[in-house]
Amino acid sequence: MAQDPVIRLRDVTKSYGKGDARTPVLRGVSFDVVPGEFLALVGQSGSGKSTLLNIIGGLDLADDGVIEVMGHDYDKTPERELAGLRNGPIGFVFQAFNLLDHLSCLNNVTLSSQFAKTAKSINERGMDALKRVGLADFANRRPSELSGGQKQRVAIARALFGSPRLLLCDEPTGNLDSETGREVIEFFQELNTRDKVTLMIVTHERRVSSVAKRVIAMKDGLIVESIDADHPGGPA
Amino acid sequence: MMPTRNLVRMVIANTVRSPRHFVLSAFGIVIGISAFVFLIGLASGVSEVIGKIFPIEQVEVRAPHASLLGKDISKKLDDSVVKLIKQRPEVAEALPRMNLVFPASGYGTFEGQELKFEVGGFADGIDPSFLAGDPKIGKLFKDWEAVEKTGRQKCTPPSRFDYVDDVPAAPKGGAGSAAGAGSAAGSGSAAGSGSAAGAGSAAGSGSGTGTGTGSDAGTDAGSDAGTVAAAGSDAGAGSDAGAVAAAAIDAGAPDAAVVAAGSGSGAGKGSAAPGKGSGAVAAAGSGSGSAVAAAPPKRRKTKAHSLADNPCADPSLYYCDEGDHTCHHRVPVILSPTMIEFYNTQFAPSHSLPQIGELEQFVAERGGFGQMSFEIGLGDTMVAGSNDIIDPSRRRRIQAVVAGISPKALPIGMTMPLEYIRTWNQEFVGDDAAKQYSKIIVTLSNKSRLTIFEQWIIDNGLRLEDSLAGSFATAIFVITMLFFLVSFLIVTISAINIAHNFFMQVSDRRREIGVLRAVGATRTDVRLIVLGEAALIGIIAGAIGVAVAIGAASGVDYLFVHYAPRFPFKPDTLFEFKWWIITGAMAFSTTFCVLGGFLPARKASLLEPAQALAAQ
Repeated sequence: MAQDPVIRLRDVTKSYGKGDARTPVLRGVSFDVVPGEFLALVGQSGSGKSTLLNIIGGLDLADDGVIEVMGHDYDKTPERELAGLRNGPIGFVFQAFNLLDHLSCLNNVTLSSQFAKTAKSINERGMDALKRVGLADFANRRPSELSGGQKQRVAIARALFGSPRLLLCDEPTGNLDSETGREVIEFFQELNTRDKVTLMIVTHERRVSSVAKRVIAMKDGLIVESIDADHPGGPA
Repeated sequence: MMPTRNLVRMVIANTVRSPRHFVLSAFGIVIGISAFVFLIGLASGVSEVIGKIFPIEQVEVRAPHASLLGKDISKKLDDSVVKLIKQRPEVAEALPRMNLVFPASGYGTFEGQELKFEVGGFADGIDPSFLAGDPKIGKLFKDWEAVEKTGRQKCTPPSRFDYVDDVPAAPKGGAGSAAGAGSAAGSGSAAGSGSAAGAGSAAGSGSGTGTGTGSDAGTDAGSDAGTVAAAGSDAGAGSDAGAVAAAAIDAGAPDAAVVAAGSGSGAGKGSAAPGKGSGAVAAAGSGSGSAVAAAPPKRRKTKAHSLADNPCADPSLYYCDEGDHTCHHRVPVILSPTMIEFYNTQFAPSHSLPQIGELEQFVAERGGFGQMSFEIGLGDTMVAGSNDIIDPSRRRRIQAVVAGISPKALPIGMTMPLEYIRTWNQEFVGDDAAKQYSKIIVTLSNKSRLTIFEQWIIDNGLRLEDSLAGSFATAIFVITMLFFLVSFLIVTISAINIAHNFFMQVSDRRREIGVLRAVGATRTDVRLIVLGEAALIGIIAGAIGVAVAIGAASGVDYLFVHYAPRFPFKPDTLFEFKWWIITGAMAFSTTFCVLGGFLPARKASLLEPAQALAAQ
């Protein structure tokens, strides 16, 4: 029996600017992502892959099209519910880490609990998340005291704090050296295989896309290729 | 929406972590709020002082004087007018006052000094119910004549004469050789209705017949009797005899008032006024030259009432009335704060008298209300030439006690329970005087209704007394509004400054806002966080502003109290920080900060997270 998709996109379009300066970024993107999938979005800069990731995460609005994530049709979902999705089931990892310097690592990790109605055992759960990324000893440090790799691991711990079912990563290894990048990719693989977290990673790096189960290539706002690692020659 | 507790914690943490932003935002608010509190507190304090001098919430209704062909056709202020005024919706209270409309004078001792003062024209009456709200005064300020109609203690009034030795030396006429005598003779033991004046020689019947020879002689001839003063003149001494003609002056014996005067010619001229009582009038021109030498006469002197010889059971509050020989409660009078202020600032320093602070304490330190009592001579006056208004035979004396201090008292003078004034006006002047009020003090429920009330008053043939109170009230209102406007402008500019700072801060914190949105914050959460920070700045800056204002006011008060010259009603403080000023300032500060933060908060909440996160 076919699983309901975690993500369902139909003819999603998005433009920036107005009038003559209007620049289309997405020009009718459609695909599904099933639970547990490890998907890599590749393409050149400006191809629309980060915009698509933000739209799927509810961080940006599409101009048109259908976006359904975990059964929520974004057109019909109130802003409060979308915020609720970002507070738990959907996690984000950014290239620029986006940690708040005035907070400790632990407080960065548990930041989402500030907006949750019923958040329990916050610090314990935060420490668990830090342990998973190997930074339990850095709980009280400020992000400014950490290396780039450590910052990204704190950012991953923050994403894991809400026990997400979908992890959206935008160039997660872009600011990391190769060794650290490899560790992060291995960690994502572990999340995908062991915890069955659906992963969607925007990347330029071949080493990342090489471990994905499916790779979608974009160009000028359109999907130009979809390669399934299990069925390289089959339809995407 | 995020839980309130988390919101508060996040707002506090965000505010604390950026001291520079806090100082930039709060500085203007601190200045604005301190100016607001300082200026409004000053206006309120000054208003309070002026309000003590001129009760600005009250107006006086009077009947304008009008006459036609010499006849007084003025509208009268009587009970029907009072009733009409009380029925007006804008009137909270109408207090009719009735002036004492005949001469009266007061006598007493205070701190060992004799005091005499005029009461007629400086006394009025109000209904005791108007002081019911003041229990300290209310228990004394009653119409005791009505309360204690029967069962009064019988008493014998004490003598009111003292004898003093400082008699001027008797003129030295030829002893025994004087011829011609002035003598006055009463009619013996009968009530002194007769009068006789002998000229040259006179003889009277009764206990004394004098053939005076050269002495000033007039002595009291009966202990409880009428008083007779007779003056003989020294014929033998010739021209200097008349100088000592005056002998005794009765100063208030109810039984008889007799004045006799001798003249230098040797013609005793005496008159005896009929006394009301039963005292015998005896007169004696006494003595001869030798008699004078043997027993120098003493001059008698009217003394004020004395507590020591007060026969009443409670001498501090009761006195023995010389008319009906029963103990009456002293007439309670109240004085205004204006009187006390004038006493403290003008009278007391010039007469080396103590200051009056709390009246109750002052009274207690001096042994009770008895020390605050005095006599009132009804019909009597100290004003020269006015003694003919009331027939001397109708004059009588009562005693009064200061019952308290109240702003409802006549500003300059004394105020008694209305019925005393009404009764005396009827007794000494007539029925009309007992029905007409001098004015009606009206307290309005709302000062803004004054215009409506004034028009109604004019339509009814009355008028409102022009008073400085209205002018001061207007001046205070204008000054307060001016102060408020200045403070408002300062705080408004501060709010614009806050808006500017928050716009800058929102721009600086775009990425932070994006992160918050990415981890689950709603637009509302972001808006509340920014507004909460603005409100917190408002609360803290407001509190600092209030503290700065109170501190500055203390400094100004110190300089004012220590260096400003003393003047009537000089207050201990120029400021009055009422609760509404403090809470209003805090609310003002918080509201304006929130208003200042509103647009930046809206801008922050409308940021799409993706755009916010793109900011570096």
